[in-house]
Amino acid sequence: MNPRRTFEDQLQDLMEDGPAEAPSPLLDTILGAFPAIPQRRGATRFPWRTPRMHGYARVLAGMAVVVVVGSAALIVASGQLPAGVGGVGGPPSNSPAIAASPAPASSGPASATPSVGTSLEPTVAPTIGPCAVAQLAARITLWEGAAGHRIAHVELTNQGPSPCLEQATAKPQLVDGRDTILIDGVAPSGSDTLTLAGGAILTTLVQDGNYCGPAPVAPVTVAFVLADGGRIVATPLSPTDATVPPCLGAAGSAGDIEMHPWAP
Amino acid sequence: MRDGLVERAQGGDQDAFSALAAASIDRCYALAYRILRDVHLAEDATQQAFLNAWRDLPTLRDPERFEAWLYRLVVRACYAEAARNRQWGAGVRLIPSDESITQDAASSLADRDELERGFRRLSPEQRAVLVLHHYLGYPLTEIAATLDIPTGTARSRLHYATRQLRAAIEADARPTSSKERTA
Repeated sequence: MNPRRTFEDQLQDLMEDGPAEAPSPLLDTILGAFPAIPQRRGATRFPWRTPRMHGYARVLAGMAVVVVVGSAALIVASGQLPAGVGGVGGPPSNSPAIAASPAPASSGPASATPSVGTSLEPTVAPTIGPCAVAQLAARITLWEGAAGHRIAHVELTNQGPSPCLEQATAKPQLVDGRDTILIDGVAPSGSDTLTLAGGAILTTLVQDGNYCGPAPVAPVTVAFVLADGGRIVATPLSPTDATVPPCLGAAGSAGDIEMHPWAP
Repeated sequence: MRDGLVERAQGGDQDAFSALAAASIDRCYALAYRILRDVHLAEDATQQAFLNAWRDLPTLRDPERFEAWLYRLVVRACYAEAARNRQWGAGVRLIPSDESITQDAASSLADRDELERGFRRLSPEQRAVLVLHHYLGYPLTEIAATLDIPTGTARSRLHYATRQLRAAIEADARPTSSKERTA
């Protein structure tokens, strides 16, 4: 008869349970995707925050910066600074602090810094083409119900290694398992373009309501018609899900469906 | 040697980053799996963490802290995956059934099942602290440094997470003991 294991033993077993190695395709995916992502550059490294700088050196560096910034501010305030001498080899600056700070060393263009999210940046980079339907994959991660509507949480993944351009909105559709269009949305008149880096993921919410048609064939999901006519059908949340929004109007009345812009 | 790789990767050397990724991916994936308890979510979190690592590597100030910094990215990616998949906690791992198991073995399986359920009920932040402590063997100070939280917060999360897990097992044992153990 085995004695019952202690809590600590069981917790240790729980921690040790599971894979110790990553599946090999995962490394391949990462190695294929990361070169397309620009590194974040240009962050100013303040001299008093250099990790190996301690004690007096840190204090002295801080004091030097204060003296330089203060002097620059006094000169500007007294109107003695000649025009065009505000920066370090650059155009005049309105900020004494910026004028006194050396430009950070940077090996990449400042515009390469992603502004939002992992790998998404509003851009019009001319060398990046529009996303091909084949390299995109959408999936529903959650359905929510709200006041007669259903809201699908959808993820869009660039499965390819290269970045591509994606419209922020598309024409949404609610479709069933036979690809019958249950509710057809409206094509956007225009929208921003986003750069979707290799492996990057965007999310959106698709809200639909008032379905008054015949019972659909499972699984119900959503599709997106792109500006170039391409179409992406999202993987449904469940293969048996045939839930549609309730009919709130007259029999046969049109439903409504709309999407939020894709966002990181 | 790793420091040299980190500094080269910070300078944009893709081969150096590839070597770092190959050397670190197993541990990062194992960490992500143990927090998320789902292979697909763990793969997504690991991938996202490495892509973030490449993007943000030039901002890492101390190359010697690369490993802890990478674990922080993995944990944050796990938080994001958990938030994106709010139904994750509903997953239940099935314990294999065996008619011939002894009562003690059955009790251990039941405890283990309840521990698994209890773990899934923890917040991602609590899970991360538990995994860093019990899987990676990190002391509280190291957990706090890795997660960029105060040591007191790390201690508190570990305390409450452990207490919740204990309570889950004890709550399961109380009502069922009279029925199951004599069946």
